[in-house]
Amino acid sequence: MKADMMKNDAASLLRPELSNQKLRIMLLAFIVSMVLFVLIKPYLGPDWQRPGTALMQFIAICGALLLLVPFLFSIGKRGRFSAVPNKLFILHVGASICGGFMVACHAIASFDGPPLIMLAALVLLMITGTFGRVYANRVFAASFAMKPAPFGAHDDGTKAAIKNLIEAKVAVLARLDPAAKEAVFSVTLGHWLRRPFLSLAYARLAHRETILLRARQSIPRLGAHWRPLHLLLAYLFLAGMIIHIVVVTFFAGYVADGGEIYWWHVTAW
Amino acid sequence: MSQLSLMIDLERCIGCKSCEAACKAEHGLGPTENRNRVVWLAHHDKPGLDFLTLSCQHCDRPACVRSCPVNPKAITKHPETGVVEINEALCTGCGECVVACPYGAMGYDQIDHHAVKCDLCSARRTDGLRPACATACPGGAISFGERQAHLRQIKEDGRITVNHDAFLLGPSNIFLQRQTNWVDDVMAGDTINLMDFTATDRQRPAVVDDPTRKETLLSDATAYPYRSKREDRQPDRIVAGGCNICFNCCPVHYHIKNDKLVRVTGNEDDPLWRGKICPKSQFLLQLHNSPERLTTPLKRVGKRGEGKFEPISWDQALDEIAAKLQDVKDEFGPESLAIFAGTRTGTLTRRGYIRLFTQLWGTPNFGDTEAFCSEAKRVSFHATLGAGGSGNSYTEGDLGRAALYVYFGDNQAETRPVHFGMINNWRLKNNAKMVVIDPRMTVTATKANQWLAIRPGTDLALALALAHHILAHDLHDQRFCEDWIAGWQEWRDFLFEKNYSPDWAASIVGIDAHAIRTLAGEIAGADGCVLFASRGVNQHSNGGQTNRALMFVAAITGNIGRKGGAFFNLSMPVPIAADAPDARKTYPKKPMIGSNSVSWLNAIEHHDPYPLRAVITSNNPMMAWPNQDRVRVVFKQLDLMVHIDLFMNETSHFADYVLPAATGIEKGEISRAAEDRRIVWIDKSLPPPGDAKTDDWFWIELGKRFGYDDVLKDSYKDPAVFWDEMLINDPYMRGCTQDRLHKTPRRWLRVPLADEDSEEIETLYLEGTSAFGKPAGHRFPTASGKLEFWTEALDQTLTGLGLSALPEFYADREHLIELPYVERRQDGMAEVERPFIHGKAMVKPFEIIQPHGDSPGRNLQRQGFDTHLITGRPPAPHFHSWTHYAWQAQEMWPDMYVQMHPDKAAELDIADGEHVSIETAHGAVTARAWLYAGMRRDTVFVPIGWDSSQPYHPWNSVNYLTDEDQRDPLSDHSNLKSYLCRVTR
Repeated sequence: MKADMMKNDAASLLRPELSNQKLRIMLLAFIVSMVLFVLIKPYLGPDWQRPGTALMQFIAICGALLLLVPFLFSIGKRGRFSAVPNKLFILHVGASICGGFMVACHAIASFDGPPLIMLAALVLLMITGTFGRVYANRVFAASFAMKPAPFGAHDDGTKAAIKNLIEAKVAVLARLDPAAKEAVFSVTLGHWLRRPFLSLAYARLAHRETILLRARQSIPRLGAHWRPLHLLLAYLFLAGMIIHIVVVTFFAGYVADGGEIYWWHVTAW
Repeated sequence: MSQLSLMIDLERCIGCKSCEAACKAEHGLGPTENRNRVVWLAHHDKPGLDFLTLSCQHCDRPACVRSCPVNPKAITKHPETGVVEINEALCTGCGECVVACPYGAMGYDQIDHHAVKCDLCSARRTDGLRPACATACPGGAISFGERQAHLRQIKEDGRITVNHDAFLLGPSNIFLQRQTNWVDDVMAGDTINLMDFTATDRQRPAVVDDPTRKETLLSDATAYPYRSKREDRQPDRIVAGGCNICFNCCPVHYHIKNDKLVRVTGNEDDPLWRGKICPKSQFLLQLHNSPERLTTPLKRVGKRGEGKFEPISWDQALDEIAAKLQDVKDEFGPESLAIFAGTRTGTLTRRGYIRLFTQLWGTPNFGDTEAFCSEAKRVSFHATLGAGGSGNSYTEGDLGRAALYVYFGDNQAETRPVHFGMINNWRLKNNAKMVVIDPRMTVTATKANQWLAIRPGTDLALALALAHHILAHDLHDQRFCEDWIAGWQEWRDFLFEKNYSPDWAASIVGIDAHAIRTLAGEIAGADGCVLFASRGVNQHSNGGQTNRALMFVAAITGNIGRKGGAFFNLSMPVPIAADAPDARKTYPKKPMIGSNSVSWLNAIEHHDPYPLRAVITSNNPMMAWPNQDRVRVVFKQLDLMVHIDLFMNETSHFADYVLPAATGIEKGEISRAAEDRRIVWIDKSLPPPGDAKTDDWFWIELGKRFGYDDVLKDSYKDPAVFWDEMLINDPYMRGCTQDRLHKTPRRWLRVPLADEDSEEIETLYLEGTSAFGKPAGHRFPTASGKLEFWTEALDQTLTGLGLSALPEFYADREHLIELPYVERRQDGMAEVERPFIHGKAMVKPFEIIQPHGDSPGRNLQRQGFDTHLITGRPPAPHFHSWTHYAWQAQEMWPDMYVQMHPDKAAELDIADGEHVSIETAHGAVTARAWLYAGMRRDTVFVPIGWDSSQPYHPWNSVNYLTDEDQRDPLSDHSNLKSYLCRVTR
């Protein structure tokens, strides 16, 4: 057990930390860079004025690749790919800000059309991410010992429902991962890849249990929901980015709407 | 190994939060970061408090583990011990576990962004130690062990557990239901069922653990040991000593690394304490490591009160102070210097170094905080018993044998939590009864079998009525009375003559006569009854006589001079005193200005009875003295004011020189005057911070400038040398040598000890014994060898003051009903010499004014002062102003508050936590409202300790509300307790 304790101390030394101050500085740098870009853009050459130029397309591609790093973080921490997942977290923040800047430069060159939805999603991602890191952590800290429900009157109906859920989970788990114990089990990336339907079934049962525990109702709303919202926005952004790439690459004609198709594309449908 | 768990006894938990302090110190946690917390819960409409100690429940099905999205999981359940642990390296700080845990038992480090949680102190367990919380708990409320063993114990003891498995998570921790199944609410006539604990419809007071007040604590500089590495907190030496904060005088271990204090824990080598310790002692860690500490001498450069200073050297400070003192002495005489010391100053300094300086200098004007704390009881004990306090001990063989514990105005659970933990444990173990008499249901009262909500300041009437009933029904101990009490018949006759019966008292005290009679019968019938009193009795203008009357009740029932029977009131002063050779003494030509240092105000302002021009203080009179508005005006008129302290506080702002002091292990001293005659030695083990010096050093160096170094010798800068050579010359103390103190791992001895081979005495004054140093047959250390209720000499002395040896009822000046009160005589009667004090002080006699229909209270009510104000100690983590510099105490209880009944608050449209104004005829303060049904409806309570110069959450001192002129004729003790006020939004 001493080893466990020492592990935690040693772990703290290994675990890199992105402080609120550093995060604020990074965001400030992002904002300042954006403002500077907007100010100097009129004085830059023609390659900087349209989003589809080779230069801007290159910047957009780089930005998009950087914006995929958060998904690496998401996969990495769920997939045993990192001994210290917080390194991936910091990478996800840094890459998101750099990628966000590049994509924003690309978008600002033509500040209209449906892609602005993605830009809005990007901004919201930054806001929710920053909120989660800088402010929701206060909510988390302040929630300690602020949940008296288990010491209040018990709802027998809830208990019975949870009991049924546990039995159902045990039954699914026997097929999903026979060696696992329901008490501490949650679906991992490996399970999703190997047995997606059973994983989905189990995840739904687990979700129903958290609803019965009223977990997200047990702390202030913003603290409880920033992360699901952040994840939702991320997947929306990812979907939007894929759609955008597909459309400008394969449906260049539709995008040009009778105008010049000056960007690299595969087909001009 | 099977599942490990904590077992938490709701009957024993007193909400002191010592476990929180221990946890944070053990794990280096900072503000807002918790692994455990004691939650205070109160009903909205019923008196009573419960304390729920929450930490990880180490569930069979831990929701936190399942919610962790990381793979492998950052949170795991140990396969052998069942302990749920976190690997911080794997945690990304997403907070899902915090959301998931329905117990709210997952902490979060909001600076480093990761979850933190209880692991039942894995490192300590490996070393064979119990978790820090279980070790520290003063109440013995937290037990650690295998869950199955806990369950077997519960079955054996017939205890009932709280079912807190609302979501089938299988929590391993166990909560034991309350055992005391009723508490009488005499106001409502309710019986309250405490046996079925629930958090439903319970409220947390807004003023405790307020998350919105924690932001000011988050600076790294304020938060040691937060963010310090565990290896940096491992001591290279552990020094046994004592806590120097309160009268509990707990034996502690100081953990030191590289001359830095890294931890304060209870001394587990002490067989009585076994490591128990309250939060205050643990906050010594923050006191010694506080960045707020004064570290260099300062000289005032602005106006008094402005707080503008420049740093100077010690030589300059001492030379200038010495020169100014000499000027004052030359012009006004040596008596024009006054020295005020107190809690922080330490006993060795007060009774040793300062005493020698005053004897050499020639001023009688030394004052300390006794007149604000315990002088009423000291005088009463001396008058009756011939000693300053009780002769009993907190041992199983003494106080542990009582069948009944009765507390009068003593909230021991919050003021001396470890001692209360012992008493509460004995109560439960022996099925003894506990009764608390207090205007509010204090934490002590929440553990009692009965709470009697007395009208503030009328304990004297209750004591008289109890005695009346006992004597009228021949319930007294006849043999003890006849053999060992001088003047008991005179008192009995007096009680009957005055008809101080329960029926007479009922309307005065606000307690049903039947309840008084029942209590009297119980006190008389108990095989051992301990009557506790404290500042709730002392700090009134009738404190002296109330103490005497309560002592009389104990005496007539045979509860003085026996095991398991006592009258207790705070400390037991012992004869520690240094004396200069007679030839070197300068005898003052004038008497003391007064035995209460508040008397100095007239001397400073009006030169009455003679000029007082210089004050050296090592305390905080700008917080502690009554009538702060006047204190501030008057102190500006001094020619010289020197303030010696640990921190810059309100008093510093009025000083010409502010000198940085040392305390505890930086200094070397004994703990405070213990309740039960223990001398706890604290070695000098650390250097003070920066250029700070010990008080001892200051007085020796100042003395050198006046040629006193033949008496205040340089070698006495070593307190151990000073102790052996100068302080234990009284036969009572001679065996309490450094050598003997250091031979015991607990580092304390119980006096009297005539020599190094003397046995410690558990209980003094037992039948068949003689008082220490008295002739054979003198069981008690009075002139007669008996307890003295009434003697001719005593009566003559007290009559001179305007009282009588037989306590006659009167109350404080300001009351909501017409009651007798005292006033100084206005008829030109000559001053008399105050009795029972060291030195000579003159006092104007008082007279008891009988109700005349136009009392001061009636007048004040006409002005809108319609509520009774009482003051007192805040919860256990705080002690006067000391703890207000400890960030963790401020995290727990940040704000000054006013406790009021919800009905009263509803009348005034005041919500819990709201800022309100409290105003008396003497001043006004603001505080936050705490709505609490455990208050008399006509009374509000405001705690002491805050002042407006404190670093985190400053508030004006409660002593803006008090009056310096309302004092006890017998002891000159200030009434700090009882005033009429009005509360407004």
